[in-house]
Amino acid sequence: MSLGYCRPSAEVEVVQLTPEKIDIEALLQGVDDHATGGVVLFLGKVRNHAGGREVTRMDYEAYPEMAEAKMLEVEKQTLGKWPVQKIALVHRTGKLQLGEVSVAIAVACAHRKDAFEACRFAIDTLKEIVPVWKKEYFADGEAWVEGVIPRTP
Amino acid sequence: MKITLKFFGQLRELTKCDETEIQVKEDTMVEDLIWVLGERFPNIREHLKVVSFSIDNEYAGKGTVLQDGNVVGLLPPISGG
Repeated sequence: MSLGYCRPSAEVEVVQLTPEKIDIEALLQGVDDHATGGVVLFLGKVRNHAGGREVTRMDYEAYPEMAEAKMLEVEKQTLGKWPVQKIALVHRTGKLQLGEVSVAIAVACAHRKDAFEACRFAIDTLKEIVPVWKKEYFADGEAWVEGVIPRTP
Repeated sequence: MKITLKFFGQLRELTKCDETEIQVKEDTMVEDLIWVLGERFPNIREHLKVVSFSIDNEYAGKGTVLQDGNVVGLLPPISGG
């Protein structure tokens, strides 16, 4: 995966929607900065159970143009609330197997408290505004995950 | 005037349609599409109660007036992450 997808902004670093396996090392390199003392990495993964049923795999679908725009907005909102030095956000699409990473967020701050809080805010906000949908597959069927109505301005 | 509709997730599956162009009258609002879509795709009527709309990649309120050439996304409740 190439992380050459940097937006021309001094603050916002990486936003990417990709059908490829997320490269965590590259993501962390993307937020490398000697002014930071704390990096928090959140990984969302495909879990083998949901609502008491065994899940066998998961499909992720996005509205690509809008999802990238909204991921950028997640970063901007996060940067507006915490003194974040670097932030990178990648969401996977397509067919994922159990244990695979569906979303990765790395936040680098001078201090750990800000990094933890900012990363938590970023993943929560992503779930509220980024147009992505997932479908769970079970041994005996499949179902779209019951989502949330997006929080709109 | 003409607008493009884009369907996602369960709505895409149920309508068997990724994208379609439709003609709408001047001054049509986003909420008017709910009726139009329900007529054309009766099997998504229930889902239209919780659908969100986007216009040109930004969420749009139901009272927004559509413009010629708008790309309108039909967004089921989201479940990313």
